[in-house]
Amino acid sequence: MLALPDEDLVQRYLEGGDQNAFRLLLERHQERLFGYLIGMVRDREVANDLFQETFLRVVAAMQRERATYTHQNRWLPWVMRIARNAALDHLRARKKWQDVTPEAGTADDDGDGFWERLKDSDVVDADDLMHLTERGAFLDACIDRLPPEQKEVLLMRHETELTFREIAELTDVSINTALGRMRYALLNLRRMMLQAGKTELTEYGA
Amino acid sequence: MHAALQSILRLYHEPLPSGVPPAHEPAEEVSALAGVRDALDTRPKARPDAFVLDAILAAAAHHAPVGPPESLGQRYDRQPVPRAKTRLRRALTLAAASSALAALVVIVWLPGGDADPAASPAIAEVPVPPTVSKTAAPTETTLLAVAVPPALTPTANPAIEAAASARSDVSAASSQPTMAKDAATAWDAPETAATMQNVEERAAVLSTRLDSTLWELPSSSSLALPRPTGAPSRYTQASHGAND
Repeated sequence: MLALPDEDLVQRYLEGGDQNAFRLLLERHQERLFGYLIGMVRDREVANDLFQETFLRVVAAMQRERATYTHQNRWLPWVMRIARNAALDHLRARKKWQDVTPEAGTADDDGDGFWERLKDSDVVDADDLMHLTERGAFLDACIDRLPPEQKEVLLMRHETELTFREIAELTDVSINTALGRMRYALLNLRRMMLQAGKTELTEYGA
Repeated sequence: MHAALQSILRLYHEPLPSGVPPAHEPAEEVSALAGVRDALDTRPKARPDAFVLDAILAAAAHHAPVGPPESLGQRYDRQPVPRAKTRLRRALTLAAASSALAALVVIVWLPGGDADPAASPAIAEVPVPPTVSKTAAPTETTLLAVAVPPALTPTANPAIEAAASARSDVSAASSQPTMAKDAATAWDAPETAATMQNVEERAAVLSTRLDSTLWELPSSSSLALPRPTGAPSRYTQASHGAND
């Protein structure tokens, strides 16, 4: 059963009520979805709540409209759409989410607008970042400083491992826009690392 | 597609879209971004707490879907998880809307019991006859008299004509106390006198019958009247006759 694709596990759960199939689905994708959620909200407790809310919605939706995701290619993007909606609802409720205009983050942007929009308090402080001894925490802090649209694409690609075409469909943008946001996210991360004086880039061969 | 965007696809080992020719990739940028990508890939993965997974599995077991799929309808992945307060608010809203609709239907379809207002003559359309006192406001009696159709006017019956004449006198005199008194006397006197005469005659007859009846009651009855002196009753006479 471990080698079965997602769609087969979903079919087993729906047709026969196989609880092990659903458990396997949950365990298989928990890191992807939770990594995306915690990257978006930067709060473990909130991410736990959103993760649970996402799968409760998934269970309810699978009962009511079983055919919608089976018409799609993969089950994970269908779940990711629900997780993204839950995360955006939470961020909108906190009034910390900025709606992304279709023109923002396109390939025509030079990527410097984000740095110009930064307040002084938001500028990467090398001293503060140096206190983050763990590399993961350091990278998380850098990701959190990315513009929301770039951060979302980066999290979807690295945490959820969606393809750029799937990311473009999820975020309702063109694939060029999704690729451009990813490119600027990587460039901004590299710039932050260099500004922080970290040597990780050298260690990783950059 | 721009060469820089193609480099991102190649960096993540994704194929180019169909029909897009490969372009020359900037080698320096690709190598720099590859280092960032590798750093991101080596980050530790986070997992949700165990109790969250248990709660999800319990919900999935409780709502295990069986049977044929339901028909597609409204999308539920955008709907929040329903709560008891939300259900109560929806029920109250539905009840209020239903009550308002019912009240509206009653108001529209039951306008005072007359389905066709145009069929009944309006009081304003009937010509108002001249009254005795033009300065005084028309009384209720006058308005009612005006609203009577022509076929039912008092001229068709002498009795009705007399009554209407008397009513008009009362109405006209209501504004003047002396005329009101005279009109009331003229209206009530004949009927009152006749009534009183009948009542007196019937009272006399009933009194006579009652006296005769009570005199005939036995002496043990509490309702028996004392007999006049020297006037024995029939029962006494009959008992004496039987003893004899």
